[in-house]
Amino acid sequence: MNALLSGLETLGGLALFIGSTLRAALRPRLDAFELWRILHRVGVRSLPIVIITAVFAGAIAALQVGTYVVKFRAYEVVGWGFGYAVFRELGPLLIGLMFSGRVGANHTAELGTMRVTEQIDALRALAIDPIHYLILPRVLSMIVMMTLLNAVGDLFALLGGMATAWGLIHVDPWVFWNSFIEYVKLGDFLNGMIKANAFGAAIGLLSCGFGMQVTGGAPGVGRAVNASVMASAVAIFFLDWLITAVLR
Amino acid sequence: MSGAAWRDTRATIQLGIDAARASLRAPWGGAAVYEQMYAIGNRSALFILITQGFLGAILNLQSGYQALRVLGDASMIGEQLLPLLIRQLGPTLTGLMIATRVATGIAAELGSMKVTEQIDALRMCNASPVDFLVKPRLIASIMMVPVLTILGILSAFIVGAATVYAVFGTNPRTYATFDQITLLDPIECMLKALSYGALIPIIASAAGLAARGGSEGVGEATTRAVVSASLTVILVDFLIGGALFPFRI
Amino acid sequence: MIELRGVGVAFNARAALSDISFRVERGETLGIIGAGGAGKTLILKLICGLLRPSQGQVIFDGQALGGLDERALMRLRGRMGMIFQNNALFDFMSVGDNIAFPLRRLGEVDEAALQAKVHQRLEEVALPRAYDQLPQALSGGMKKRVCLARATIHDPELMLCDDPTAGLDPVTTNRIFRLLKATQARNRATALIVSHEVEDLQEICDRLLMLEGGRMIFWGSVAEARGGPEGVREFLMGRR
Repeated sequence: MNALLSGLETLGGLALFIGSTLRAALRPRLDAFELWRILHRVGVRSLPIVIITAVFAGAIAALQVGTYVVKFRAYEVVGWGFGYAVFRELGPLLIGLMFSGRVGANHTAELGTMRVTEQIDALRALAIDPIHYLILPRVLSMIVMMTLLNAVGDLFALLGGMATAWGLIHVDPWVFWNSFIEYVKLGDFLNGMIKANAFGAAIGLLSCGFGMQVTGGAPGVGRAVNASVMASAVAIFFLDWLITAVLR
Repeated sequence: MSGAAWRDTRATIQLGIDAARASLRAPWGGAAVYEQMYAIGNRSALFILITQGFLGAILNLQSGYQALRVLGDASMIGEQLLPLLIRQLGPTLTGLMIATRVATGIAAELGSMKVTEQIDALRMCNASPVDFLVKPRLIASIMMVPVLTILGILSAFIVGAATVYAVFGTNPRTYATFDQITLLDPIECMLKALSYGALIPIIASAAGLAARGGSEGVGEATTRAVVSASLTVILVDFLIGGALFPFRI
Repeated sequence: MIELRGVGVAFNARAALSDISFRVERGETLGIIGAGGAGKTLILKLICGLLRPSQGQVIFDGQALGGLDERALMRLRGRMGMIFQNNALFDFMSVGDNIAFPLRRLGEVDEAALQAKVHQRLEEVALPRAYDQLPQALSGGMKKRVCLARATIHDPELMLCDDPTAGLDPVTTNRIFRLLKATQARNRATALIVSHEVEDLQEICDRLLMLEGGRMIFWGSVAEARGGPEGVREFLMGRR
């Protein structure tokens, strides 16, 4: 019962937080320098991890698609199966989960620490609205960077996939490339980009929301990070499903 | 790799060796293991059911639309997708969710204990943190992750069958065709689940035990745990999948 | 009882302690003073082997800690008790279990004797009804007293006290110091106390050690410190 109550309390706090963030977003007072700083930090921090994830996502996808391709002896469609799976689904999903772990968790921890050390209250005392000053730049940065990184990730996944297909199932990279270019449509790429965009927004709002609600010192920060990445994962799967069902 | 990353990796490997050694010594059961099995298994079950249910819906929708477009028929997607679900997507997405749920949990807990000097207090009381904290988590996780993986696959399968029935009108009986599953698929699934089960608590514990400073240190440890654990899951998926690939052709 | 010989500690090639040498005899009380970040806590953690020195030797009861593995260190730590700056009470155990923990881990099997001892110790620190409470439910002063009870339940020969009165009001501070002294007297234990309460330290300590930036700038009796170099004298008077 207590757990249920505190769960509902968190949910209510989150709803209020998202409401006030969206309201603030309508009339943003953005500190351009702060926004640039956060954009830079989010991008720099997550680029290596996104590249590694993308290369392996591509490799794993090539391995699995390869199993079907070998079975049906359909080497000429390997690039298609791969591109479809990675661009629409596996790429944004894995990059999103990784981005949530790297950047989302980081922002929850950072804002949570600011809260338990009373830095948020200090901002308020200086008549600085933390939503405008801290939250908007972070949420915006996460939306922008998640989308951009997904495009970078697609490229590296393609490289990882081609290398794996070449090394393991001996598909000539040229054949792979041709079947990829032939069958994979701009729509597949855009579908993934829309997902990445939505994931970025969800991760941004949830990670900041959980960070701003931290209470209870260091253990509280740990618990908030845990809750934040779990909520982001559920949101990512839900949005993925929604976009897949609506856009076909 | 930078110096700090290399040091962290070495500390993680050392902890893995210590914890494995400690786990080979009796006792293996006890209240601590039981408690961790509950924390890792039961308390993650709902989360795994939800996320893997969505995975089942997404996977079948994507392949169904594609099969309709290319072949004009989506009735064989169950048959074709089930092996993929069992050998790869099931264990790995469940593994990623456990990296999210369990790794952050362990790192947050041990990290808080570290920065509040409780780890030092344990060492003052003749209780080694490896024996006392890491070992029960390792044993519990090795036992529970395969169970959660099966749960996740079942959830994805059932939601998948329902989705295919609702969207493409395929009879669940047709959907549940298991002909394409070979013995290698469940073997690959369990190999992956056991590896994730062994590696995730070690990585998370190492991150937690390395926490320094106050709440900032705990936040950092938790972040590091989820990133390292997720990356490891993806890497191990590729390694096991790649090693078993030659046996499929 | 304890001897440090030319001990230094470095983190990432930055020295946190350097060239520390001193000796404390059995039954003595040493106060360690100095500004924040001077390395006071490090000295305590070196002596119980929670931290290994980069240079020099730590000797406890004639035994150099440097050559010992964690298992042997654990045995030695059974003869020490530590009061932590943040209390470090196990937040997943009740107060009673916290206090009983060291005894249980040191192999006390007679549950009745163990319980009797825990209750007696709770009585002594004036928390007779706290047995079943969780540490989170206690006030700062109560937590400190539980920490003191846990650190001394196994009658240690050496008490390491890291700022045992941090964040406490003057009355509670006084009470903690009296409890400390009484426990020490009963066991004829050696005590090392890190504290900023310079007045109390001058009263209860035999010797003082002062650190500045990881170096020893003073070592000697309390009387010597009062008439000692300017830096130490002024620190003791709170003017610096």
